[in-house]
Amino acid sequence: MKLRVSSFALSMFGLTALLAAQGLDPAALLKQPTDTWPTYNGDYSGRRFSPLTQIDASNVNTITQAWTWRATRSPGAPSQASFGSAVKATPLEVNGILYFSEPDNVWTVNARTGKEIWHYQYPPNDGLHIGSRGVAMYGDWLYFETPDNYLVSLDSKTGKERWRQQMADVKLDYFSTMAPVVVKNHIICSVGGDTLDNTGYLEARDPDTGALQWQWFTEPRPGEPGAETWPDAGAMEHGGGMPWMPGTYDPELNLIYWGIGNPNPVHAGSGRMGDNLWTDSIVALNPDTGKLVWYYQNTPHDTHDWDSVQAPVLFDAIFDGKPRKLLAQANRNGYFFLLDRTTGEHLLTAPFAKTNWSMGIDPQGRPIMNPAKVPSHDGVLVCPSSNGATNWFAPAFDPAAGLFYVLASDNCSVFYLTAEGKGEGFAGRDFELGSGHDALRAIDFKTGKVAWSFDGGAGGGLLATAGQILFSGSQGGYLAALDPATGKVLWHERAGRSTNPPMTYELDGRQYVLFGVGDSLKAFTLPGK
Amino acid sequence: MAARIFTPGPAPDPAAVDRGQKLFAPTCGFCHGPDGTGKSGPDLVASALVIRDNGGDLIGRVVHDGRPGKGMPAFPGLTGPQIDDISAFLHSRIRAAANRFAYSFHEVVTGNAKAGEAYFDGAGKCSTCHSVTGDLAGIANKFQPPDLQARLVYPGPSFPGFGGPPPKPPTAVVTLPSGETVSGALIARDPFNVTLRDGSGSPRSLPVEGTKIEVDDPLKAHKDLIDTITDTEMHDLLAYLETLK
Repeated sequence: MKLRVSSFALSMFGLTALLAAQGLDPAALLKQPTDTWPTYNGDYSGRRFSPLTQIDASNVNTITQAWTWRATRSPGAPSQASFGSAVKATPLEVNGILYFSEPDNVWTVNARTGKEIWHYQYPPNDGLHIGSRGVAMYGDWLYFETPDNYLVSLDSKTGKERWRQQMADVKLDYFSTMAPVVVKNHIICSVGGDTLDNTGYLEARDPDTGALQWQWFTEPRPGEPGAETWPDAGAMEHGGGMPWMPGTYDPELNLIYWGIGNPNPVHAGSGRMGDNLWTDSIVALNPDTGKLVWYYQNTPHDTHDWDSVQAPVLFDAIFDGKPRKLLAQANRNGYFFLLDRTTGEHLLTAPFAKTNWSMGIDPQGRPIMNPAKVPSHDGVLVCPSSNGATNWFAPAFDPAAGLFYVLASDNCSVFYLTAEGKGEGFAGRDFELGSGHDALRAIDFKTGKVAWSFDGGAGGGLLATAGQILFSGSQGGYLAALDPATGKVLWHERAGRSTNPPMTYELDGRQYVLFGVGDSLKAFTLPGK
Repeated sequence: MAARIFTPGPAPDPAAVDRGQKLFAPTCGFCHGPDGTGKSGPDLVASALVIRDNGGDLIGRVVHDGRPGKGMPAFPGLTGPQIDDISAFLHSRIRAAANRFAYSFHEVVTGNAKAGEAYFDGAGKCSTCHSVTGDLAGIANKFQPPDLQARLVYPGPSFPGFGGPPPKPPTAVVTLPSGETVSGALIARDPFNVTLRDGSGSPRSLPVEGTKIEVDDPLKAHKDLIDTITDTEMHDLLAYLETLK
């Protein structure tokens, strides 16, 4: 990231020369980054579309591994319990340095060589160590969330801890995994955990002190709009809705977009009759106030663990003859949704994976739950499974091809209600049949139709580039590059199982494509560059 | 979201849990339900105060003094050890709620066995491959009902704690660009390679490109069943298989 503190930025944020030349000016994020990857999704849009073109369709089959980095921990460091070590985070790349995390760990690595610069180890704790999506950067400071729900700020040059602020109580079984998102002078962070029946929330915190700026709860309070979608205050207060994945931002509209998690108790709906807003919804909030501007609910009254946390991807295009500011999401419930992101107006709903739970689409574009497919004591066969038609794996959008890419699964589960009465926690179980297959699917955003499908596409996510390449992992432990228009494989290498969304950057005239493969990062470049 | 693998804190003493339950039901159950999950009073299994309580240190005060503003009467007569026992009981309920892989099932077998038998021999075409006196004899003794129900639709992976052998792999015939054919058990297939175990017993990996692959999947009928079986048919079929003891 080349630092340019514009007068606009100075007036907008009151920034001073305090933002040293090594750091990341948050105002720079308002423009499309070119050769860097300064946020979780690379930019605010969530498209994971890089303008870099050095590696292109004609030469991608010649790329080779430039370097590998492998996680090492000091002896006696806490293990990740039963989860093992895996880079699920998308590294940031700023000024030649990569910044990324696993639960309790942050690393910086030289982006040219793969040599480790520093490693920060957070103390052992009781939080669930399932994953860490990455870090955020503001000036010279890094931010990340811990399994026991602290937002920690580090000095990006040294890895020295500056402060930590508690977001939630680990005793209540909250755990935190999200990569925070920097919007102007707000560090937007969130909590997760649906084992016990807690309420979800998003927070904005001060970049310098970590002090709370605002908190937005994913359920209304009694008497507020949306409360009519719950039977009582207790159900709302314990209604779940964890916003556990990073959202996106439109600087022109000054709106952040977040996907909200599933309601609690997860599989038992009898104690929470109603639509259960704002669980399983896409919400648009004002980042300065935390006030809700609009919402769109993808799965009313969910009982299948189909959270809506998949990236709300932003792009501008003509739809039905009219230029629109659009928001697209391939949802865990098996349907692709297209909305107008200015107003939340619904434009399109179409399935992209195997589904059998809906009786049709209602006038607002929401699939209508078949009441016979709600978990029962004797079990119901439902597609998608509880893992969903997709999950946290990053999607991508290629504006040239007009296609939205998603890692999809056609699996089904037998869902059981185990609770008697209203239930607590999950209140049910499901048996995934393991019969289906995974695929990388390309969805035409104008029609919702699947344009092509690459059977066996799998991994932590996708990356599209202006070099007309789509990067993915695949079954069998491959990394692959595909033609974004047709799905034809242009390159594949058996370099390991993709565990994170790939990203790309350019340094000294050399483009790198970086994959997380288990406990390693692997960087690929063109030979001789 | 993902599974919680463990629950925090040590397990409470079972004797204390038992004493606590016996005390809780008549003392607190009228408002909080006999199992603590709430009636006119709040659900104590989902209560942040109870979850944060450690050996009665937080609930003790509430029980002893009551919450007059919220309609909770005081129970000044309960002793410290009794409050410890109530705390142990409530924490056992919280642990049970948090540990979803230990949830127990209720009334899984609800179908009509006769209708299941008709489906087995008729529309389900199960008798094409299976025999209730042959391969399925005693099947109800081998699997617990939820596992058997999932497997009757699709005999996929074994479920933790439910046992059962993995399904038989499909077989495949791969015709190479040279015209040579290789056949055997299909061990793995991805977009680029197919791995067979041939007659010699050793695995052989072949690139997919340029080959013709014919797969004979013994589970194809089950894959098709996923799209056709109704929940009623599934329940009936389970009820029928449950008679095979």
